[in-house]
Amino acid sequence: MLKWRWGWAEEAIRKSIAIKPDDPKGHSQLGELLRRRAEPGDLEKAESNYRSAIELDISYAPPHRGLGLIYLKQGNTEKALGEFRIYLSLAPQAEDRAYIEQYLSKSRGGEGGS
Amino acid sequence: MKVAGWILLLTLFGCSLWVPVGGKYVSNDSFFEVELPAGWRRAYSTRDGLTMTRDGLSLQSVRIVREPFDKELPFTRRKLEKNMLPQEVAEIIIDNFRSNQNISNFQVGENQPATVGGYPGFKITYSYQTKENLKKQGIYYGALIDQWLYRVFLEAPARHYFPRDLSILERVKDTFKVTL
Repeated sequence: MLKWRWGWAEEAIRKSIAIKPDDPKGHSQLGELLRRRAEPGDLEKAESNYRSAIELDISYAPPHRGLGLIYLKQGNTEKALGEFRIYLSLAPQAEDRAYIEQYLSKSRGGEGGS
Repeated sequence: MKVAGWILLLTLFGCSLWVPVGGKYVSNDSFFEVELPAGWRRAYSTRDGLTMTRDGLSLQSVRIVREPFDKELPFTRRKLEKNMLPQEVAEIIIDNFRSNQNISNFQVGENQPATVGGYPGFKITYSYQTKENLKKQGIYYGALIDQWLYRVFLEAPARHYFPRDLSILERVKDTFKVTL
């Protein structure tokens, strides 16, 4: 059932990308699905899809958030924070702003305290 | 006759015994301690934590629950992973609400980071409609701590009870400490 749901969603997004290949939204949504599913190999594919979305529209915010979360969990804090800063600059009213600001402030605390 | 009376009582009160609370409460099974308000009652026996109410569970419930993080959530098929960020855990908890077909018009008010029991966690405020068309509101604090999902939450009808009991939940959450 779970695989069916992920599969169905992935198929729908891929169809949307096929119809509008130049729309960053589809690539970003596919990246989001892969990041959340997180099966072996998914994170690499997610990163690639987020990158495709950014190449199509550098001012589109969501893929920067996705990249930030991937890097943060991989322990690549510097890259993560860079993406989060871009994300907030592009989407200052983002719904998850409080979480992102927390990641940024924790990092500032770590830098000052180390 | 006495036995029949007890059976009747247990049937009427759902086989739960309720005891008054007030002051410090320590759960040795679920490894937490908390200050509880006077005038409320808790279920004498609750697996995995604490359930308390003042006017009855249909009018308000405050619960503190500890469950293994890998226990299946009742409605979503998505699962929690040990190394998830609070933000990711919150997303799955929201998905669990959205997948619940017993409620409708589920809406999230706030979703933000919070400290829960001294650990990084999240806070979600939400509302939904029951099948009986009653609008309920809730506030849900949660955190993945070691191999457990701890959650502290209040649910009550949006009218009168939720606004009245919100401060109680906040006080409970502020005094909640995990003692692992």
